[in-house]
Amino acid sequence: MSRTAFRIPAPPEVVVAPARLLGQVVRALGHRFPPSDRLFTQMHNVGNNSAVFISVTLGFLGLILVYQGCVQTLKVLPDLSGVGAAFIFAMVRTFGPTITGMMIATRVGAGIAAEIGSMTVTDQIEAMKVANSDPVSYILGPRFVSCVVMTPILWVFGTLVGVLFGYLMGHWRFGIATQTFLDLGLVSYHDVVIGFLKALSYGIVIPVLAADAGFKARGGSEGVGWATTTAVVNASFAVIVLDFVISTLSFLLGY
Amino acid sequence: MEAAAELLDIRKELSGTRVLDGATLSLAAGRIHALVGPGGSGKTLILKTLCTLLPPDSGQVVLFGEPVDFLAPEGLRRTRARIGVQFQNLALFDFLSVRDNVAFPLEADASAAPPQDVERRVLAILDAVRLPGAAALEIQSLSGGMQRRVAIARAAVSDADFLVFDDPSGGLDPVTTSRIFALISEIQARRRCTVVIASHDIDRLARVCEDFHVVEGGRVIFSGTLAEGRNHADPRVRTFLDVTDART
Ligand SMILES: Nc1ncnc2c1ncn2[C@@H]1O[C@H](COP(=O)(O)OP(=O)(O)OP(=O)(O)O)[C@@H](O)[C@H]1O
Ligand SMILES: [Mg+2]
Repeated sequence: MSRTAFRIPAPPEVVVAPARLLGQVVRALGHRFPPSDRLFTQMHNVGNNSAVFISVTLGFLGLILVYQGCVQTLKVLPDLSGVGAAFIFAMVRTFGPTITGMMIATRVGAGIAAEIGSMTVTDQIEAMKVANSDPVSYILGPRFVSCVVMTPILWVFGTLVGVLFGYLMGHWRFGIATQTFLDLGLVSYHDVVIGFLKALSYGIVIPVLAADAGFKARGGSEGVGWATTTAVVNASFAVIVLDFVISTLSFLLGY
Repeated sequence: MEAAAELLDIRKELSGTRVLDGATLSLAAGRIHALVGPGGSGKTLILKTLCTLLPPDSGQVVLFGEPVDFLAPEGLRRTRARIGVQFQNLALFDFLSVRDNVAFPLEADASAAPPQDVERRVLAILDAVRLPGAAALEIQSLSGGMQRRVAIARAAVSDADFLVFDDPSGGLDPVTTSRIFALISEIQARRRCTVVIASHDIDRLARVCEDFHVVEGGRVIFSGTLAEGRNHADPRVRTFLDVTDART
């Protein structure tokens, strides 16, 4: 009988490569921080590209969640006073950060992967390397910082938009009073911290996964297409996984 | 004569195919070398290996007398500071202006030139490639030939000891082609640097290059003067270097 020793499987390349890239970009940023004008351009890109997208998505989500919440509640109780508080709690802690993260993964992640991918397949990345410019620092650096800064800001923005639309639904369609609906009673300090941590972690992983796909692009426009798709798939998946991990950890730690 | 750049038995596989198959090449310092060979023979890959951008699977790259260690960033940095490259597909930064593209090697590596020199050098090299006044233009607004000249300017803007030109005349009209080759040989004469040019234009190469290297199937099958090549025993070398044949 053959005895195979139990071995912890090595983490797959899809995790290792981005982790290495994250280490590189953090080190590069510690070494040289991007100039503020380039940083501002990138932040504007991230914010501008996603604000409308996030508003529309979270706005509709707010409308739907409150509508469904009210309809379902009315089946068992004639009392809608708890809907607003539960809805706001869910928005702050889960839907706000995660839907924002998903939208940024698709919108910004695809953009970063397409940009870096086309620079890779047209040898621009090699041209940088031979000129002794570090593409990780020069190209990914500003995009990374702007995603890390903008994702939490967009989380706040998206959550507010979602809550606003949910309130409009609750108030106008179901007649819930403003004070009753906008009840922050269920939202604790911890929920805000967890929502923020989720948004922050998405802001960290999305640009790194997108850039990793972009740097790996090979061939012509096909390679850029591959990089874009891979970035969106990996980044969206990472958002879901991180949501699950952070939620589980916070649950286990009793927050 | 001392070699500025050497490849020793380089092997490389890309996506499962052997693209460099024991390539050995020695580029004598201070001369202009021609790298010729049929399309797809491996010229571009050899040039990329020479400028430290394509780590080989096996074999050794020796630049400026020192073996290149692809895992030593500091050593690579010092070596790359001495290399200027014009890529076959130009690889211009489409998000930067002409001026910023050409200045890129100087600004990315502060040791390449003192900051107060950057402007003067950029303007001088743009003048040399006959693009005066193009500094403020966007890359996308240039014609293919103009872009190629910007790429050549970017390769030659620093005081590199080793200049690599991959198809500098691709898509250029004959007059500009002649000027580009003249410019390359002028830069070389002035700086005494080592230059390698990959091109299909045997005619024009013959006017500026002393040494010819013929690539075929991922290896260098001939190195020597044009006259030697034309009398070589291997018919592939003879055919390829024969101007009349190469034209048809
Ligand atoms: N990334 C890659 N993956 C697989 N094969 C590749 C790759 N890059 C190049 N090749 C193959 O390597 C060979 C040599 O390519 P290379 O670009 O060096 O040719 P070349 O001599 O420069 O041709 P040309 O004169 O057309 O520029 C070709 O057959 C090409 O198909
Ligand atoms: Mg080529």
